[in-house]
Amino acid sequence: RVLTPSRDLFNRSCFYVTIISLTIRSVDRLVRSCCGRDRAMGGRRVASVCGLFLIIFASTLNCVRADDAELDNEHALHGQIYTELSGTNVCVKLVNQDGPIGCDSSFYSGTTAPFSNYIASAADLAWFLSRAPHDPYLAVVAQNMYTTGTVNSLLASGKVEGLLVVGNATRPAEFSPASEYPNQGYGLYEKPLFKWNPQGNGFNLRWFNMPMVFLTNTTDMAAVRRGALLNSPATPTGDSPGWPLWGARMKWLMHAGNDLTACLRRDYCEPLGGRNVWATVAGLPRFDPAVKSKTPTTRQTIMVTTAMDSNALFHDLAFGADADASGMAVLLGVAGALGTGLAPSDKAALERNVLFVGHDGEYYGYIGSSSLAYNMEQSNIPVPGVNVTHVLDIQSVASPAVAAGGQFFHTEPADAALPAQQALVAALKAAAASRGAQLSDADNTADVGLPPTALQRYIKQARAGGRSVAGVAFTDHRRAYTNAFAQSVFDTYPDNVAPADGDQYGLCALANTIAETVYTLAAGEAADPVVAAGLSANCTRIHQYLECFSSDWTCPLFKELVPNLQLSAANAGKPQNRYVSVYRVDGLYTSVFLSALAVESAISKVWVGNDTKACAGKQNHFYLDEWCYNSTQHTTNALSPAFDWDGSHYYVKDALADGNSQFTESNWDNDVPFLVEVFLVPSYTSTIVTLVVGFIVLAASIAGVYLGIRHMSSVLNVKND
Amino acid sequence: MTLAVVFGCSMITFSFPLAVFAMWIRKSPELVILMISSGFLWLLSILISSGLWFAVSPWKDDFYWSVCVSVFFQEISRVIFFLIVWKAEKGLASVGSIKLDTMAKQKFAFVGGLGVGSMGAIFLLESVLGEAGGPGTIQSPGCTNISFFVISCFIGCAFVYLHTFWMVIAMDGFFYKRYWQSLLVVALHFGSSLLTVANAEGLDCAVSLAPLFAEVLLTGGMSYYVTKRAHDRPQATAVN
Repeated sequence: RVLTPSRDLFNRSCFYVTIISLTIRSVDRLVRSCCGRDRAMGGRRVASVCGLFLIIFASTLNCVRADDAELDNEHALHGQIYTELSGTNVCVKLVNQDGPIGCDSSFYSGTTAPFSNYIASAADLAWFLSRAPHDPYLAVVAQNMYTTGTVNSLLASGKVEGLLVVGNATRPAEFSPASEYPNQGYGLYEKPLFKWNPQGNGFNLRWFNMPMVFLTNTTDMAAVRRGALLNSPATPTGDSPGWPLWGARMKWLMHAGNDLTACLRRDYCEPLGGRNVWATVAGLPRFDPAVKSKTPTTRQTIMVTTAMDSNALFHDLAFGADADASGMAVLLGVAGALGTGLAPSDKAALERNVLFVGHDGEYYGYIGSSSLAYNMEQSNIPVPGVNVTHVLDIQSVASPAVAAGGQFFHTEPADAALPAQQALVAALKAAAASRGAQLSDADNTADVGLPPTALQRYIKQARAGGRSVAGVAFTDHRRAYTNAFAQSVFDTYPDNVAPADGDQYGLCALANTIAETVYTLAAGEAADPVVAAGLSANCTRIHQYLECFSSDWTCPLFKELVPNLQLSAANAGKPQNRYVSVYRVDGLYTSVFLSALAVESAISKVWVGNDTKACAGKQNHFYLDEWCYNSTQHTTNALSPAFDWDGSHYYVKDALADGNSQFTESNWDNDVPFLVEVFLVPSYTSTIVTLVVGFIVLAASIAGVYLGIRHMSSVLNVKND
Repeated sequence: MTLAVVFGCSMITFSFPLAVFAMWIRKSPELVILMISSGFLWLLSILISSGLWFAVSPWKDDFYWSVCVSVFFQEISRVIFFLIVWKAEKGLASVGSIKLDTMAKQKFAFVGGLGVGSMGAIFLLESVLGEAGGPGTIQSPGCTNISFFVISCFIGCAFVYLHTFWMVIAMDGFFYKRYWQSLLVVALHFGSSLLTVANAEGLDCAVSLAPLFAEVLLTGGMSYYVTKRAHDRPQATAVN
C-alpha cells in the first residue's frame, strides 16, 4: 500500500539516507571537477548542507536491523503470497543398472504449474481428463482415488507434471506399487515363473520424472485441497475457472543423473543398504567353551530369518504391517520360545546351532540376504565356518485372509527329493499338527517356484558352491498375494492385518510350530519330546511386537527394550517408516529389532526385579520386564555384493553385478531438498500483457516528455543550458 | 516468466522520471543535485516518521494516524526543500556572474518534486518488485483480475506525477506568497495517501486509481497554469 511507517520502512530509509548522503558528497565532487566552481556554487550549497547534515545524522543514528519478520512488511508480503509445505513424504530419485527410478523436478527452478481440480471421485477424474483446459497441471488426488488406474490415466493424458496425494480416511480397494513379480531377477529364477503380485503396478521401479508427494500434515492438506477445490468447476459438467489459478512450485534437488556408473563415480548417488541383525540360541564356539567341543568348522546351522525393512513409493510412509512386521513378530516369538524354553543344558546339547536373522533391504533385490549369504561364503562374518543347512524364512504371515485360510509354507520344487528337505517338511507338518496351527503346504510346482523370499538367495548361494540347503518360506498366501497393499503406504495396522482373535491371527500357533520344528532338527538324535512340547512362545508379546513395529513406537514394550529410543511425544500413536535407505544410514528399526532379538534369544537370563539398571554397562546384556538377558546378538553389514568401495567411491564389481541388487539413491542438499510452495499462478498472457503495457507507457512517456520539453522551451522559456 | 512483470511494472512506474532525467535533467548538474537532495530530504522525513512510529507504541496499531504522521513529516521536508532552494538562489544571485534563469524557481520545483516522487516510487516498489519476480502472484483485494503488483505500479506511477506537480504548485505558493496553494497541496497529499488505503480495504481498485489519476490531470493542469502565469507575469528576479 502507501508507505506507512513501519519497522521495515525505518530500516530501509535509514539505509538509504546513509547511502545517499555519501552519494551527494561524491556528486558534489564530480560536479566541481567537471563543471567549474562558480557554476556549481548554488548546487554545492545544497549538496553540502544536506550531506553534512545527514552524515552526522546517520552516524549518530543506530540503524536497527529488523529481525522480527512479522512486523517486516517485505516478509509479510512473501508470506501472503506463498505457503510453504512441510516437504515430507516425497518420492525421491533412485538409480540402478536400468536407469533412473522415482521422482525428480526440473533442476533449476522446479516445476511450477496450477493444481488440477480436486480429484476425489471418478467423475472428477473424467472431467479432468476430458475438459481441463490449462494444462500442464499438478494433479491433486484424494487418497481414495489414489489407485493404479487413476495414476496411469493421469500420466497417459500428458496433462500432468506432478502429483500431490491428499490423505483422507478412505483407502482404495487395492494398491500395490511393487512389481507383479517382486524382486524378479534377483532370486533363484532367471525368468519370472508366477505372477505373485497380480495387483502390482510397478510404481516402485518406475521412472516418473516428475515430483510427487503424499500429504499427511493437516495444514499441508488443507492448503492444497483448498487450492484444488477453487480450481474445480462449479458443477460436475461446468467449465474450468479462469486464471489466475492456485498452484504450486515443486522443486526437488536430486544430484544424481541417470547413469549408475557416472553417479557413483561423482558421489551423486549412494548404494542402498543397512545392517542385518543376528543372534544365536546356543552361544558361539568362539565364546562358549561348552560349545567348542563340537567341531566348529563343520557344525551345521539352522537359520530362521525375516525381513526387517519395508517399502512404499513414498519412503517416509513405509510402515509395512503385514510385509513384514508380521514376520518380525513371529520370528521374535520363535526366538523367545527357544530362548526361554531351552535350558542351558539343552542348548549345549544341540547338534546344530540356530541362527536368528533379521535381513535389511530385502525389498530392493534381497540386499540383506544376498549380502549375508555372500559374506558367509567368503567367511567374512564374525562366526567362521557357518555351515548353513536349513533356512526357514518368515515372510508376510498376517494378511486379513489368514483369518479364514491360515498360513502356508513354500518349498523349492527342484529340491523336493533331497533327504534334508523331506526331513524338514516332515518335522514341520508334525509340529503343525501337534500345535493345531492352520499351516498348509503350498504345493509349489516347477512352473510356480518359490514366492519372493530370502530363501531363494540362500539356495542360490548354496548351489553355486555345490551344496544344497533345505528350506521353507512361510507366507499368508498359497499363490497370489493376499496382501492387497504390498509395499504401499496402505499396509498399516490394524487395517491390513487379520483381526485379532483368541490366538492373535494364528501367529502364536505358527511361532510355536516353527520353534518345535527348529528344535527337532537342531537337537537331532537328542531331541526330547517333552522339551519340544513344552516350547511356548509368548503370545501377548508377539502381538505387541506386531503392533509396536507397525503402528506405535512409543509403546511401553519399546520404551523398556530401547530406553534411549527417545522419540518425541509427537510420534505417539504413529508408526515409523522402515525404508532401508542408503547404506551409510542405519535404520532405527534395526536397533530396536536388535534389542528385541537379544532379549528373546538370550542364552541366559537373571531375574533382577525392578532394578532396571542392573544390566546397564555390561556388554551384550539387555533388561526387559524384570529380567536381565545375556545374549549373542550381532549386526553385519547389509550391502549388495555388487558394490564395493575403492577407498573414495563406491563402484559396481562387474563380476558380481548380474543378479545382485544395484539400487542406489540420489544425494541431495541438506537445505530444503524438497520444496513445495503453494501460491496463485498467473497466466502467461497476463505477464506478457504487463510487459507490453510497460513498453506502451515507456513510449508514451518518451514522446510526451519530448513534446513537453519542446513546448516548455519555446513557449515558456524554460530552458536548460 | 514473471521477469516480464518486473520489467513491465518498472517501466510503468519509472518511464516518466527516467524520460525526464535522460532528456532534460541530466544536462544540468544543479538539477541533478536538486533532484537527489529533494529525494533525500523526503527520505529523512520518512526516517523520522517511522522512527517515531517505532518509538511511540499507540501509533503502531493505528493505520490512519501513522499515515497522517508520515504525510506531516513529508510536508515539513517540502518546506525545508523550499528554504534550501530559496537560499541557493540568493547565493546564486550574490555571485552575479551567472545569468539567472527567469524560470529557475519553476525548474527547481519540478525537479524537486520529481526527486521526491521517484524516491517514493522506489520505496513503494522495492518489496513489490522483489516478489513480482517470483512465480506466484497475489490479487488486489478489490479487483481480482489484476494482480497487486500491477496496481502498485500504477499507484507508484500516479504518485510520481502527483509529487512532481504538488511541488510545483506548493513552491509557487511559497515563492509568491500564495500560501493557499501550499495548503491545498497538503490537503491533496493527505487525501491521496488515505485514498490508497481504500485499496487495502477491499474496495474496487478503480475507487482508488480513478481519483488518483484524475488528480494527476488536475494538478498537472494547475502546475502548467502557475508556470505559465509565472512566465507571463514575471515577478522581480530577486527573490523576496
